[in-house]
Amino acid sequence: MSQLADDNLIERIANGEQQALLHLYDRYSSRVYALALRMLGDPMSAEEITQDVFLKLWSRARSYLSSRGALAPWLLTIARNTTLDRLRLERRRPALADDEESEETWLDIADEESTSEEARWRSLHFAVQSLSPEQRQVIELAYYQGLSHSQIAEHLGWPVGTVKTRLRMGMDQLRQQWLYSNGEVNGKKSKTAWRDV
Amino acid sequence: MNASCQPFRDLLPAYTLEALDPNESRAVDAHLKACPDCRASLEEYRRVSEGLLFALPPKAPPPRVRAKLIARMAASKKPAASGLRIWPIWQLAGGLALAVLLILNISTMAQLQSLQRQQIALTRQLHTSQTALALVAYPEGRTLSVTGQGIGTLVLNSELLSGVLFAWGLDPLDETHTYQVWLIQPDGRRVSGGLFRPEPGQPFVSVVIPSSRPFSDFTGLGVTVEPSGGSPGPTGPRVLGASF
Repeated sequence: MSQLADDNLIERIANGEQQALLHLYDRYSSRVYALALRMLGDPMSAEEITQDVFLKLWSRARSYLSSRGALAPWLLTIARNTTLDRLRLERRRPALADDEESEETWLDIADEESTSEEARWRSLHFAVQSLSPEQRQVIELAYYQGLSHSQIAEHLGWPVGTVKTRLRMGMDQLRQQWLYSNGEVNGKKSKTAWRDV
Repeated sequence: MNASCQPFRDLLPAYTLEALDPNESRAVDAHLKACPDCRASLEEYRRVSEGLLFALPPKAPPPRVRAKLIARMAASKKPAASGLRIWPIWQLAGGLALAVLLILNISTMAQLQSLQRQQIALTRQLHTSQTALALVAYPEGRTLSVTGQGIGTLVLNSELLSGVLFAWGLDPLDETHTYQVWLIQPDGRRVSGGLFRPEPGQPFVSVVIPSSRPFSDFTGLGVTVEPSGGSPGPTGPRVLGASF
């Protein structure tokens, strides 16, 4: 869906239109729920987080400025931060990744207008899957569990230096495989792509 | 990118994932402020980390989540409670048009009121002039010179109960003062003959002076500056005077 449509819906949400919020819910709830579920590992908690995120959108619509970028990254950042707050509050142990995710999962949510965006995210997903298990593990612990170098080192029983190296090498590989190989570099294509989200 | 950047460059990936310890994060913050090359590298890592938000297969939540969201929205305050409402452009345009019309209306009303005041002043002057003409035309009508701060002419008839004063050169007064006419009795006592104020922009002032007794009962006339609303007796300086 175009950036303009998202901005139009946000404006209507800011004016108190519930139907506009439900349009955005139908558009993005699958991503919000998937992120929360991955981070928490608990479906019921992920459902609560999903509701919380869209309620925050309901109350914060006016604070969203389109000049900051596309709505989807902003919304998912709220989802990540909300989930991290829950993790830290409950002092949860890091959730394990679901290794049984399949390519068919990407087709669960039909959105014919965003096929190109789905392809971008799927390529990044598989780029992550192609990392070494150690590199993938530290990146996921850092990003989806909110752990620092030292906390990851303590959790895995590794030296901090090893954690730093594996995280850096994993991100460099993603940057090379996804950002450069898919033509994301130089900014021009990326801006266009983000606008399409 | 110079050699001094390398330690910070190695920390950029973790910086974008918010995985640095606090002291490392502060060090990178400080370096980024001074290094455009590292800021450019940071931007690329940011795109990767932001992509990780989307790199999970979408998964639809159960329908009950939507239903609960609707129920919670109904129970929560409207977003507009937190601040100003965002007006659609057509409502803004309509509001602006109304504001312009209101301003024009107020301006027109002000001009109308000014014209009305001018009309009232002209009507009074006309009446005064007509009175003076009538006095001159009446048998035994007299005109006397009035002197002082300015100059003037007093038109009166000894047997009638009104006269007309024309005066030139009187200073304009603020709103806290007024000119007051005094008719002077043979025993020296003053009787008020009325109040007047020069009209702004008018070269002279004309005023009808009423009296409860014929002008033949008085020996002279004086004009003083008094507080707004007049005084029971002269308190200010005399600016005009005439002897009958």
